[in-house]
Amino acid sequence: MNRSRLIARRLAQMIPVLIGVTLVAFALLQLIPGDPAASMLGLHATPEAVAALRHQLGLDQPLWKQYLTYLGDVATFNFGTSLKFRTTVAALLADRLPVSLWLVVYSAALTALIALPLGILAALWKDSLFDQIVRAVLMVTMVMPAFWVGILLLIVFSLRFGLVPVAGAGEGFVDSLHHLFLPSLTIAVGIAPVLVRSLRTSVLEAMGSDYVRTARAKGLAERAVVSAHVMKNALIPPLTLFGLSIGYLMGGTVIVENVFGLPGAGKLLVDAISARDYPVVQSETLIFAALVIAVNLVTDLVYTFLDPRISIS
Amino acid sequence: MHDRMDRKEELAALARAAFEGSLDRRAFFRRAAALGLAGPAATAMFRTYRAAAFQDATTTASNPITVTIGGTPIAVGIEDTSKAPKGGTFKFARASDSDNLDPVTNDGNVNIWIFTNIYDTLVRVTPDGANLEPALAEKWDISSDGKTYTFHLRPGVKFSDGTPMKASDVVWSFTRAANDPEQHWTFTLTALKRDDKGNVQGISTPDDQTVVIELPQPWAPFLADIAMFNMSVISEAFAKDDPKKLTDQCMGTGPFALKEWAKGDHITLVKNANYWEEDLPVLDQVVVSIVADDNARIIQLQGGEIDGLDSPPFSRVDELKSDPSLKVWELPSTYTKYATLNSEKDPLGDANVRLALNYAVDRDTLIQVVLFGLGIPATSFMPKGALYWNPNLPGFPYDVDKAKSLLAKSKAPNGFPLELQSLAGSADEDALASALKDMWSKIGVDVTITPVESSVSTDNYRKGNFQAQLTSWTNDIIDPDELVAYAILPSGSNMFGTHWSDPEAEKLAKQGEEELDPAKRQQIYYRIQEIFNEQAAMVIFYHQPYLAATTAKVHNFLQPPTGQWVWKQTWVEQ
Repeated sequence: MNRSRLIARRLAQMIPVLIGVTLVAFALLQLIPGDPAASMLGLHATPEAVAALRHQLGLDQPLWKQYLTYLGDVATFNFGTSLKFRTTVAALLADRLPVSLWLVVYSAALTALIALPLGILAALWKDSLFDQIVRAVLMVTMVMPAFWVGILLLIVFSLRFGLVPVAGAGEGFVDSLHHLFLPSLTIAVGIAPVLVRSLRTSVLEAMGSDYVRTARAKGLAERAVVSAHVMKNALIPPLTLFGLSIGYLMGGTVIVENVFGLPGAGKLLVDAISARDYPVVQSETLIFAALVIAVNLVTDLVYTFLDPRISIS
Repeated sequence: MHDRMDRKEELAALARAAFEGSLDRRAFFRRAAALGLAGPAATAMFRTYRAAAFQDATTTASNPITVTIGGTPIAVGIEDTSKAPKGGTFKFARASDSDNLDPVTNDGNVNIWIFTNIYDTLVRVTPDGANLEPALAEKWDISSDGKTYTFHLRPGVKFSDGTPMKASDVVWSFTRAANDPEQHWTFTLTALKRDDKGNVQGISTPDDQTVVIELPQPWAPFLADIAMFNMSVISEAFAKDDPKKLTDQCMGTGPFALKEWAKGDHITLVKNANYWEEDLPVLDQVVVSIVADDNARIIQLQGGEIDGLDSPPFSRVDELKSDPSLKVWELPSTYTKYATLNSEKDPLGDANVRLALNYAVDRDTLIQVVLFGLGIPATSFMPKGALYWNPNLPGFPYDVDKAKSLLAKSKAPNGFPLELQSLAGSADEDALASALKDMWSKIGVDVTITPVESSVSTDNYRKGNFQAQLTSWTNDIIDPDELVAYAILPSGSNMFGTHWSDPEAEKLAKQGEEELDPAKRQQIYYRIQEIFNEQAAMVIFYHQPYLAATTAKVHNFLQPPTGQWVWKQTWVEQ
């Protein structure tokens, strides 16, 4: 099977998964207590006003009917109107999703920039002082909570040294690289340690394998051994982890957006959950899920380049 | 430590001297420099205290705003704006964005505190929160039977788009406020005449400059009612065809107009060039940004990204106060904290139990633990200093023995388990709930703290799904009728969630609405507060100020006790 057919098939498989996601998101919102109409009208409203608003929003319809209406809307890319902001969800997301996605991409890039050299060098120089320091330091950054790291970075880099702005997402590519550096770094230092450890282990494993011994016996230069033989094989396990951590990254943006005051989708999601803003919660859940699935598809495709033995079917 | 105290005392003495005018400018700066205070910080301090010396003495006496700069607190009033440099931008950060700027379909402070800078009312509250003064109505006549109000509109007032404000705009706005199915505020409109279908009647316009409102009965709080933000005058021409657009577009006569709202990021207000008050606003622009994290907001202030921030956490106020480049504003508020007790859940129907819970609370300790000392113990359910607040009530002085003996006389002589619902994620309520658990355990009440998120809390509150719930109140009008009707009269609020009722209090609350003699009204509301305390309908805790921090260059950061930000007199030194 060629790659384009694989992609087509995997995309088709996304549909039932996404329908499952809509069902779970819908059901969870029904299960948690709290009523959007009551939230919207506040404490002074009369019970009649709440009932009228529930009717207007269709919340008094049977659940299956509400779900089917919602599913029909989604199928036509109508994400509805935010109950809290009273504007369309599409308009809200158009402003915020790009900030969050850019943050995810930037953090992923920084994560790779940190993890690749550190992981490989730690393995090549196993048990050296460098290796020990990398492992000890990363153990610490991994367990530090993101909101605290963020504040710490702000105090040091923004307040003390004035190197980066304390707030805002920036305008244009270069400016946003500057503005979003600390938020992305905050996320990256939380995720990179896992990848470094995995990379270090798999490089060490590959170095001890028969094909590397053969390559060395054939008199290949060490540089060639590492780049051509070790790396290709050693990258697969950390790559899997990396693909999985993209989902985690999206969760990470929520906290980081709060600390750095970024107008992103993560913050919107949290606000929407507490306001029981059903259309926003459901749409965001669906979009995040679709993105995670897409990233996993890309990860799978990258495998096939790294190791042709991995069967496409 | 000792050195630091000395410096603080010397700074205080210096501020006092500047305030009293006993130091000239040069002498002030010499002494400030000796205390290590130089440059803009010293200038800011001098200006703050010198300005404080010249303001209206009555404002300071009855209702002081406290500004602390470089560790020294002082009471200030409104500074004279005539010498302020015109123009400039005030950048201000808060935790959450607005979600709806329509004055009618709204009860969120995140919205109200913004749009009150955009809209005006016929009558408005004075800055000290104690009185009413003319706004869009220049004057008014009240008929001798108290049923007919004739408002004479201020001539020449224009909306921010330049169109003149007419009597018909007032009628349209009031009618919509009363008839819109999504309107949030019924209590300010109960006085109006309605037909069989519930539509408002009795509002007429003899000419373009006059509005007459006829009430079916005399209504003492009426002027206070129409001073509330939901009676904002909105341009009929702008909104008539599509009132829904008022959720994110505004057209008012206030000092500012809405320029831009990037949802979730910032709101930009721009000076209304047509504003009717001479030489106001001082600023050209106000930019209100959203920074959810408390500590991040403080870092932005320290880093010069913003000029001011809302609600710094109480735990960090001391640190901010000691920074000479900042001003910490403590503004008197009507914010009062309570635990609502659901009297339908055993044993809370027994007044002895509720009294015992009140006497077992050590309010001074609570204020230290939760507010880091920045509060006043409450002796009444009404906000201290508000109209007809009863100064003669002893409240519930901390007395564990008395609490125990009250409980011994009750249905639960040996104590009982109590579920206390608090707001999840609120540091203040966490601290309050934990302290209460400890205090009430001393009389045998075993508290389980249940943190719930806000929408669950609202839902539980409405449905009575709680034994005790932490709650709070802020007056929206200066008349006690708002709170008294909410807490005493039967309505959708279930008497502030207590389900407690008292025939005498109910009768008095209704009398208070129609009694026009202020002396008699005072008696009525004093008595209502006595009854409330005799039966301890809720557990009352404390009153807390509004807090804000700005750079030392910001002047007139104002917030009346009813809570709105008032930016028309604010300015930022360049």
